[in-house]
Amino acid sequence: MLGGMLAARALALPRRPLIAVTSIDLSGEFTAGNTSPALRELTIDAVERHLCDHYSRRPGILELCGLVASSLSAGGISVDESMVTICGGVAEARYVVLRALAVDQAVYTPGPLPTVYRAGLAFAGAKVHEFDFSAPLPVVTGGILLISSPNPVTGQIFSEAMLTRLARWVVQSNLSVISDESIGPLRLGLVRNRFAALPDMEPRTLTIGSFSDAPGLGAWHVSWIAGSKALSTPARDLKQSITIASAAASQYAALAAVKELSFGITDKDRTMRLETILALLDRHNIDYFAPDTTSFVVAKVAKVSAAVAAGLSCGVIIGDGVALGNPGTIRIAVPSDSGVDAWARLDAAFLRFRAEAQ
Amino acid sequence: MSKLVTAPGSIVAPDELRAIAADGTKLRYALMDLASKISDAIVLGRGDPDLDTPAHVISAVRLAILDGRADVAAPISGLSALREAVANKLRTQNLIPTEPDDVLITDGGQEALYLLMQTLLNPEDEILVPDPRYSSYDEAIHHAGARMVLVPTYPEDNFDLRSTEIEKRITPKTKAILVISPSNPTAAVVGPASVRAVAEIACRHNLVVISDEIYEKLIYSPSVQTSIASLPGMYERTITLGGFSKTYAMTGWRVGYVAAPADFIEMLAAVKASTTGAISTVSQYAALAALTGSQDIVAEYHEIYSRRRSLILGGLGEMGFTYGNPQGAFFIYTNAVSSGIPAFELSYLLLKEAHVLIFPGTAFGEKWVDWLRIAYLQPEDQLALALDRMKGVLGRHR
Repeated sequence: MLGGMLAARALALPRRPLIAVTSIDLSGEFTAGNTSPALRELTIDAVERHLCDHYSRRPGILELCGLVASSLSAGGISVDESMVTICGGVAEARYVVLRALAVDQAVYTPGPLPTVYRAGLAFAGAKVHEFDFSAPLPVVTGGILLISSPNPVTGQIFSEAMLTRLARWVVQSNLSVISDESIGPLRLGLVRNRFAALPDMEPRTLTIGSFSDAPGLGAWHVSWIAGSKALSTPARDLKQSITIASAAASQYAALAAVKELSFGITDKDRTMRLETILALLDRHNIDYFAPDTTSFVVAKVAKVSAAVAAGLSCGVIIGDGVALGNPGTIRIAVPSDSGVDAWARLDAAFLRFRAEAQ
Repeated sequence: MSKLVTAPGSIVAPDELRAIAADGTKLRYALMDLASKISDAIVLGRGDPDLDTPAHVISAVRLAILDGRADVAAPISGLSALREAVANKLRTQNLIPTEPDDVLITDGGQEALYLLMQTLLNPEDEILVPDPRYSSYDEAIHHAGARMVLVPTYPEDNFDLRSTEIEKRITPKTKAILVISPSNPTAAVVGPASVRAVAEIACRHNLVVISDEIYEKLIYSPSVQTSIASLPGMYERTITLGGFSKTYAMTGWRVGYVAAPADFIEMLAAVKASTTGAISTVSQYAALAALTGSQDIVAEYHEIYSRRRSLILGGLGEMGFTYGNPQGAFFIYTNAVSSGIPAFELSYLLLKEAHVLIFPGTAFGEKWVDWLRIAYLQPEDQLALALDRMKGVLGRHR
């Protein structure tokens, strides 16, 4: 009876199959695997001191908000802790920001639009305009630029020159900006260019971020949004209206991630693990995009569903590019720990995929 | 009705507070912010238990972190073990025929409300909501673009639902009835006869029932909880909300649940996946430990709240405040008309002069100008001190 009384907005959404939890999940945007011993110790300490029992300060633990603000300030963006809200995860952060700021707005985004933004935009009643970044930028007045760097489905970043070109267009077009910078870490040698740090962009930009430098935090679902009060306040209020505050234990884990410099994983480790996946893809003659992040790899496959099915049959969940908004691709998260099981399962999956594709 | 007190500079609340008085959520947060700046404030405002999360929950969390389970992402609907435990609890304790696939784990009860309103209500749909009510219902319904139709409840009924009041507000646009038992803010428990009457109305008019039972373990004898989904023919049209925050003093862990037929839960999961995403695994292990571990602590907490309730009721009686028979939760909704001061002003006065934070009834509906909501979520000595301070201030202003 209830199934026949659903809201139209809900019926328009894709349903997702449940997958056995015994599989290794490499479908996410963030490094899969375990948190560091140091992070665990600090979090347990907070839990045992009963710091996680009660609602935290509504926008987030003050110290955590302060450290996020300090980190942004060090990058040339003037924010204080009152302009930071801790969210329950990047999905929540994206939804809250879009649902709060994009109501009935024109939203411009370099296409193709990743699926992760679709519900927030649809529920907000936004009118989405995808544009080709390589072509001349459209002539518009007012609205929102939605940009993600790295992109959550391709893993690609915009260069500083590209971002600067967008920033000039933002001023000319009088746009506000939602800059999703939650994916990371970046590959060695690459620099994260925060959009809000570009000239004139600070008052116009709301940044979405995460604690992705710390491995294994994906399952803790903690992220942040920060920016000028005009943009951050409505998003903060909506977040509070939906969940009051984020889980305190997850916030303390994030606090540990920010304060603890050694996670038992180095940039060299990350690169090595990324290279292992690339080597597996090479071995099976599967083409891929040169990744800008060490969080995941995006490979090009003709039969996405066959690749995903091959993964499932070998006990590894691979990101389905069609469902993610990047047809013709699969996404594979980089494991944070030894990854031995993951490599073996991926190897078997690629082998099966190739056999079935031939 | 209350007389309006306008003595300049005395107890008239500041303009910035008055400007947000009609927004229950903003008003409560503003008062909490004011209280946070008073070092010896006794906070009887927010529904956040002062008790600790149980020790066995803390131990279970420690293990889940150490052995890496907390690092493994849970399915969007929640850990299967937790869904199974919730279903088992609903079957055995609430007599609701629930299977694990009928359960979705949420980021607290508030997210549950938001998601189900998004999933159920189209713009222009109407939903019946008992008044007074917690403003989160207003917000969740507003975000879905639907229309909230208030159903009055009355102090002389101990704020129980009157079926006649429900019936006369049903229109062709009515899609659902919200039942909140025990209620926030009134602490009313919807009696078995009223529950049956609501069920009969829902069936006759083909309506969905949303039953918020988050305070179900905090009911004082002789009242009893009746889950409407347990009545014949009701499971198919009922969405039951529950959680861990109030029963186990776990507000910081942010875990709640929705139980309903699997086809609705599947759609709810799709909305959750596309909007707020999954919730943290570590919090779900905390909830699992709470539900599957010893329940002695629930009785212990109940006893503590029961003693506090008696203490506050006695003190309010001495002040001449009336309160009917608050049967559940950890609130007392009291009529303060005898003070001669409107509740909004009285709430501000008590905060500024008595350093006691109590929410005005207007935070739960504009018409409740003579009422206060007291959350007895402080140790007994603090409650006694709060009552003394309140008496002192009222004595000066009466």
